[in-house]
Amino acid sequence: MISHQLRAWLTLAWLDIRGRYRRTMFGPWWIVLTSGLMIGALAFVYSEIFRIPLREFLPFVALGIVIWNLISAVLVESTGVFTTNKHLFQNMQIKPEWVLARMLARNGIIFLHNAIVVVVLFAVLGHTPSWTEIALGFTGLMVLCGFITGVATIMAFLGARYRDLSQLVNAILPGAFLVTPVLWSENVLGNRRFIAEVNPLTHFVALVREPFLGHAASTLNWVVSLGLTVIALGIAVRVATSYRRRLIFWL
Amino acid sequence: MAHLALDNVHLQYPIFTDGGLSMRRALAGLLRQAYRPECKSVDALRGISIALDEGDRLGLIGPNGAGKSTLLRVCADIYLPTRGVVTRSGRISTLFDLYLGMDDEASGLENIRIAGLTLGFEETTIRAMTDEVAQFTELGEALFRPLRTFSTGMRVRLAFAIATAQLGGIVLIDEIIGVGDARFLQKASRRFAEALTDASIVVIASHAPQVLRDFCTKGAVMADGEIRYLGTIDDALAFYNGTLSP
Repeated sequence: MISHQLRAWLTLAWLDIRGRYRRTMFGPWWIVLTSGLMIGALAFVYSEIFRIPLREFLPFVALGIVIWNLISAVLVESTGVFTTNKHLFQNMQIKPEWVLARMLARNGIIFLHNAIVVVVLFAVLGHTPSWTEIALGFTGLMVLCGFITGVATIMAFLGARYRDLSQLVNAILPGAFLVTPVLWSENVLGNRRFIAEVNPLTHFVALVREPFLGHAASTLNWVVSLGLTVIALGIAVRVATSYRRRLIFWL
Repeated sequence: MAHLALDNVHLQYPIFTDGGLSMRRALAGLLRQAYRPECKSVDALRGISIALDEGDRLGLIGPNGAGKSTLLRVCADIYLPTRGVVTRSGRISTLFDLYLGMDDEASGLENIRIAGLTLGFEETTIRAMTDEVAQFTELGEALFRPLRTFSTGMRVRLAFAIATAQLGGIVLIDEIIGVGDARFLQKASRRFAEALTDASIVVIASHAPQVLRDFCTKGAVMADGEIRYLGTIDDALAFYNGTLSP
């Protein structure tokens, strides 16, 4: 029962992607193209600014952008995910989880497309992480997925109740991109590293990115990320159980 | 045996006016140490009690804003009542919005699939439904075209066929108006009648006396969130025309 419903919503997520790129020549490959262009341009310009060799800087930026795009897309979409599906909620008995799952799955599919850029880049540059590094990177990715699932759930309910939230997220994210070590490394901050370390997103980006670049993520990265993930998921479960039946009145 | 009962059901819902959903208000409230959670609320249903069993066909009659749609949505478990108890046994199927989840850019066939998936049907059910809908609508090759190329009449045909394909069990219907050419209309009412004959319980909200007389045996007259009269459909219509209509 659960599994076939989940499958149905995953199929809907895939149909969403297909729908978005309908009548385009490249279809979902536009996702790959868009990220590829952005990564290429940023790496080209910023490797000059930071005076880091392009070969070294490209994988760093590529991973950073792909991870950041996943985080920011989920955050942006989560606040409005229930309001955009208002029509469904008002006309049928529908579980909020499925609507969330569809949104998360859609962004998961987009992430996988983006990951192609990284894979191609690594192949071209002859950069091959070891199996341990790959395993660590994927473990980090799983933690990140847990975290954004929790945060998205909280934001989705709050965003339906408080409409300012989606504006707030839109206002914060572009700045957050610049102050989070996505394009730059926290090592350049020297003894002012705390600027990066108080930012929770720093730890999630590092957790996924570092292993693929051949360094291990720090213990601090692991502790902060795991801690925040547990907290986010805990609050998410509470929010979802307390407000699932109030939700309809907020839409 | 299918069963649907409401016992002293009340439903209040909050009305969020402009700014009512805003954080500013909540923050201001917090600062004043007196956080008023909801600004205003409306008593949409007040003390509704009805019990329906296998074979019952109930028509809901009443002016706009009487609470008919709200009552149907409480029956469908979309709204949780503020007070009172709802008991249901049997599958619930609803016909509230013909165009639920339809996508203009997707083809007719894809729309059948999307609707099926949204309603949570299994792939095998969806395949059977697709064939059935294709046959009933007689849209043929047009089903391969995007929905936006459909005429209004064709759209209605498709939407109606999809929406009525899986009606069964306890059927709840809100204000559906028949459109389409005369031949289709005839075909549609036949399909509708068939679906309703097989249903265990039917509740229809409508303003059309003919629809109500055709499909219902019981009638409830609603006004201001209350049931004012409950009886046979003819008596209910007479009561409604005598007291609540000019």
